[in-house]
Amino acid sequence: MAAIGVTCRGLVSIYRLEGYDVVALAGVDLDIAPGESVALLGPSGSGKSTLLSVLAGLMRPAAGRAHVGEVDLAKAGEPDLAKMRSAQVGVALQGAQRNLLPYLTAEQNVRFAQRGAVRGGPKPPSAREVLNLVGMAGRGRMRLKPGQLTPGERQRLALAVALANRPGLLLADEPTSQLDTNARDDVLAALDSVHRNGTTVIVVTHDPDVGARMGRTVTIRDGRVGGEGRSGEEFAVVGRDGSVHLPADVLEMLPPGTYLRVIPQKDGSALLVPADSAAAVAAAEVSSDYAPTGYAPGEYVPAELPQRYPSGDTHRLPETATSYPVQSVPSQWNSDTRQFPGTGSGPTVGDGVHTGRRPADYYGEER
Amino acid sequence: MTGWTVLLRGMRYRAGRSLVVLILAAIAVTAAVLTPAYEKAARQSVLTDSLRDAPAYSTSLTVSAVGPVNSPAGEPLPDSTLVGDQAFGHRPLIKSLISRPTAAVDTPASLKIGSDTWGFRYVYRQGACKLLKVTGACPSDTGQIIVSDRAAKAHNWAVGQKLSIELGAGTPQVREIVGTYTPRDPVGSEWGAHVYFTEGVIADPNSVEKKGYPTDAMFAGAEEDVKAVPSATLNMEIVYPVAVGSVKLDDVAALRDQIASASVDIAGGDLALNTQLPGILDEVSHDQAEISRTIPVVAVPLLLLVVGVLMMLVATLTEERSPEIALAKLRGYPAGRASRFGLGEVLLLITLATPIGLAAGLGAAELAARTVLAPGVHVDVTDTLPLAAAGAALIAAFVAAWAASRRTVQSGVLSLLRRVPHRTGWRASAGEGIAVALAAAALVAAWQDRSSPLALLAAPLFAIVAGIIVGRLLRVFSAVRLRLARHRGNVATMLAAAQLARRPGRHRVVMVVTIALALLGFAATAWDVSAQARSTQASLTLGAARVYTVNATDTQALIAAVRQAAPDGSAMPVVRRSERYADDLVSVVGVPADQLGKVATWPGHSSAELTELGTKLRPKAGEQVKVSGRLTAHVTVHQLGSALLQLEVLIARPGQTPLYTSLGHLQKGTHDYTGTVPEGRFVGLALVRDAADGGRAQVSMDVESLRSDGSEPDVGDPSLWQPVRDDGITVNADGSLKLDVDATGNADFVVSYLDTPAALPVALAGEAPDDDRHAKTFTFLAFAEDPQKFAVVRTADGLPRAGVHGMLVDLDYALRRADATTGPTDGTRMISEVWANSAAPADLPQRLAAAGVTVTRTQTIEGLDEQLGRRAPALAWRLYLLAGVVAAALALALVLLVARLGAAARRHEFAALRVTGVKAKVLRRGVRREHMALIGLPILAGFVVGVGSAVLMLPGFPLVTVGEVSPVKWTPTIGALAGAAVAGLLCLIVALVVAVRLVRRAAPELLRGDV
Repeated sequence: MAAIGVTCRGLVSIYRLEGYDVVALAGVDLDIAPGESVALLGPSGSGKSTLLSVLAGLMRPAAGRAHVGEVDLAKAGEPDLAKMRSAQVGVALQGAQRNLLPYLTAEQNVRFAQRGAVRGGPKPPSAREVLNLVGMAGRGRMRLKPGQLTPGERQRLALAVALANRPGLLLADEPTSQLDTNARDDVLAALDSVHRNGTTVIVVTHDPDVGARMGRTVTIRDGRVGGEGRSGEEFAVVGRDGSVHLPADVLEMLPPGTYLRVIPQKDGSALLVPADSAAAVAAAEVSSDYAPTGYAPGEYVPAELPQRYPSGDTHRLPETATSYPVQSVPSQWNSDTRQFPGTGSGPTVGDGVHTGRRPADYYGEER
Repeated sequence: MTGWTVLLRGMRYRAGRSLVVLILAAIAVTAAVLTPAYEKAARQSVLTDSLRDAPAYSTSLTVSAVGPVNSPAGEPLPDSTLVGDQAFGHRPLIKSLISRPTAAVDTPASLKIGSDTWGFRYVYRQGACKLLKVTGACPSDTGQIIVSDRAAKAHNWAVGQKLSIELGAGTPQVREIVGTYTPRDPVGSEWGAHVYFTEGVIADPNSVEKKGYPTDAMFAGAEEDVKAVPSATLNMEIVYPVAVGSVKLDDVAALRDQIASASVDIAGGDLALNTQLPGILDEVSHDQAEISRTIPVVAVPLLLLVVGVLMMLVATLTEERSPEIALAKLRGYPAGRASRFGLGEVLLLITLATPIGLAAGLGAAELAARTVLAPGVHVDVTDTLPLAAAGAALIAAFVAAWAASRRTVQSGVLSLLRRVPHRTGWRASAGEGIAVALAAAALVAAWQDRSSPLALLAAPLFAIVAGIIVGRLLRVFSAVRLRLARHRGNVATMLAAAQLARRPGRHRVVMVVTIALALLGFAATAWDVSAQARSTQASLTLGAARVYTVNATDTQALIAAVRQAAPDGSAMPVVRRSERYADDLVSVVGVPADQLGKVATWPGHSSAELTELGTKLRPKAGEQVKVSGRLTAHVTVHQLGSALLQLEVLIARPGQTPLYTSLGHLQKGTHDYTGTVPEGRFVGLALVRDAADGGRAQVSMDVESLRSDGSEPDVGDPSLWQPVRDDGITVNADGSLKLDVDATGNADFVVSYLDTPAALPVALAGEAPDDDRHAKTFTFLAFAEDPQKFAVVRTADGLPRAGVHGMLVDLDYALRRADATTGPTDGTRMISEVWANSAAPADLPQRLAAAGVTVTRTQTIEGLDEQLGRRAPALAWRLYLLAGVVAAALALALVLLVARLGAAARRHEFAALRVTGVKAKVLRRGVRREHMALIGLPILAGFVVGVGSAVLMLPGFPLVTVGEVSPVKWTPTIGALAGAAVAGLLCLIVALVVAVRLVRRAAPELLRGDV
């Protein structure tokens, strides 16, 4: 099957937990082109697995839009979603065992998954072909039951089962968790093989190395797309509402509640200047086409801004002044169809502080 | 790979659980099949039992005619047989049941031996010699006869001798004795209702005077010999024996119709068709109706329980398979195919269980038929009803499986993967509400009419309500305990209470166990009570371990024969008579009071009590005065009116009316009055008027002495003399018997000499047969022609052989009173019996036969008990007990399965707790407490509710006989109730052992697999 792309616009997902509504996805904007290989990163509870479940048609969007290929996930009925899973989207759940029937052999597990295919549709590949794709075509291995396989093999078998009907999109949740390095590499090789065969691959992972091996990383934080990475570099993504997720180390310097001046620079970048940093303000030139809130372009922005804020506001200002020259992102990165301009010609991040950072460094992820 | 591969591999993977589903489904089908199969077999059993219990001649089809030689009775036997053959030959059912007929014709005959006339039946019977042990030749030609060995011996007849016999009013016929015989079985059914063998037996006392003493039948060699005298009354019979054991339930209606239509055909040939089959079938229908009514009511709760347990099991198993169903849905299986995948295993197992259940149900019914039903009764495997029941059970199980798994199968992938427990829905609460409402309605119905169908369902409904209440209460109670235990830091109690209060489905287990044990408790109590009631009724009905119904010449002969046959006193003669009074049958049973304690049995009473009763029945009375020859009365008449009066004495002779013998007319002054009396017993004096004299009679006299052959009644004891009627006669005694008469009218004046109590002492069961139902004295027909006086010395709810409405009297006194008053009653109204205790000789019938008494029927308490055990109520209670046992087994299986299904998770929990430092001892204690509450409490509560329901409901149920309720009595004994209690305890122990083993296997090392 041809590769399938994914489009999310303001995707919101809410579920109930012990009587409370929990917002798992709070407006995800994401585009994944057919044939892409994407890793969804983010801390636990950030919503990446929920996003995967929504894309798999296992959860309904509460608001926003989500398309998987031609399927509008908000409008599709259960039969349509089942049909989608049977032919277009393969899903590998977290934990290999959960994807497999313990009493069937590897080959039979693949065939069991193929039985879900719509009758009259294209003939699914043979179980051997599918297993070959993940490096498990050995006759002896095919006849083993999941309990008789190594953890790595089990995981690859789980991928094989998800790929049983040669879907255009593979969704894999934590495919490398609880695996040793070799097994992980085998799984990643299998994923690479799948990708090379023209299948769009979306992997949820906590493992930065896995993310690095994928073509693109999308970091989900607080139910939103918080950053993206390309070739090992991580970028903050300006949201539709103008919000930007700060890196962890920056967040330490600029804790929540900090008042910032965002000072556009002539070179297209922007400075984030804490409100009490006079020296920094003095050094800064106010951009002619940009002014902080309440100031006209070209107007001097004083260090103290209390008079422009509503009375009684108790927002704390940082004691030390820090300025970050921020380069504005080219327009193509603000469009709905972002295209990575290519390695080397892409945008750089300010003074280079972010250059070469790994996502884990960026968000303080230790896993 | 096909879907079947997945299905079969899944079943093999869950082999243990699959086996349990298979077994449970098979049990459900078994219960469904067993009910109609057992019900039909039980009805067949009642039919077969009743038909077999009836005398063979009453169930035969008898074509007969009575009349002179020129009537249809005189037609040649082959011609009459042809009429019968044609009538029955056209009716396939009758034709299949009857065997070759036996034709016979007989006539009353007599012969003179000396001055005596001897009466007998002169019989021509086809194939008679096959039933006789013939010495000499079998008669085969005209003029030939055979006589009985004992008649030949009594009258010194010999082969070759010619006898002149009288048939009707014709001239005597000469017949030659060609042989002698002894019947192989004189009371065999093949002889029918004929009394052929009556040597010396006075069946009708009147016949003695008219035709003389009876002798055994004489068998003729030719039919014409019996019809030799045209005026002789012929009794022609063609008996078609019916194979009653082959009468099937389904044949009954057709049999009635065919008998009715055959009767019309035979009547067209001027003959009559006699049979008691339709009447017996009518009686049987009452029991059958009760079985048809009761058994399904018993089966319904069992079926509901089985289906309920099956639903719980399927729900649990489907939930266990949630991740697999989720996988199917994840792979894009359409809803229908995912449901099939989720339910396929269960449905296949249920389908496989159906033939197994069908076979098991039929097998169980057959086993029941062989062990508890009438011999020869089997399950009708050709009946379509059990097959239909199996089909219905299959469909019901499918529906139950679908209903139980519906929520799981319809859940989304993520719900299935998370295995979120389902909360109890409103439907379950509504169902519980309906059950409670029905139970309340059943209680009200039972209060008004315990025999209503709703009342019959009261016990199971109470069980369900008890299950609901205990299940809910345990949850609340456990929640409270959990809070308390948490507060106190009691880990074991905390663990136990948390499981009970929070783990979903626990209250359902509690409910099922409570219901099952309530059903078992009720069934066991009912069985024990009914078994004891049957045993009591069997004992009361018979009165002794063995009771022989006998043919005896007369009561004195019976008494003599028993003395001879059982000199050790282990058997005693009994005579009884039943009379209808106020629409009830009242039995008067005459027993030798001094043997009562040794021979009779009286349920709930000891031998000493029987002896004491015997003493009350036979108080001391005057000595018997045997007289014979000349009897002289020394009398002084002080005053004598104008009316002529004869002084007569009353002499009683056994079995005969008392004889009045005149001693002469009274004269004033002192005189000896003498007469000749026959050998007998002096029983009184009479002043007899001349027949035409109705004037005033006045006498004042002293009887100073009475003498006869050395015997002398005591005339000075006033307690020994009593006027039969008080009208006009005063009796005193003071050294001599003083009689004062002053009366008008034709009545004679009779003064009885009392060698028995004036009113017979009687032990009475039930109400007195008198206007005053609580009367202490009353008159009733007993062994005399006229009513006799009785005085109640003891009352009881039931008496041996007299049952719940009857009376016991001393046989000797009763007979003496009868002989002394009006003479004994017609012998046909009396039933002679011999009662024997368990120590009596086994060959007593042979000994009695040697003593001249023929045993016609033998009954034992065990036999009667067994027979009662095959009546409708017992058959229903037995099924109820079986249902209770199955219910308890199901509950145990469910408990073990639930423990097994959650075992892995529990082991991991325990292992984790062990890692946190909780000692194994504490875990064990927690598990024990949990299961004591989970199993122990429902067992106890269910048992108590079951027994309580039985106490409440049983007084309204027939325990022994259809339509009759009896007081509920229970004597502690090792029976079903004790068995049920032990079974409940064993269930608890098994559950505890299995649960505690979980802890033993929950080592911390177990957790390594999770890392």
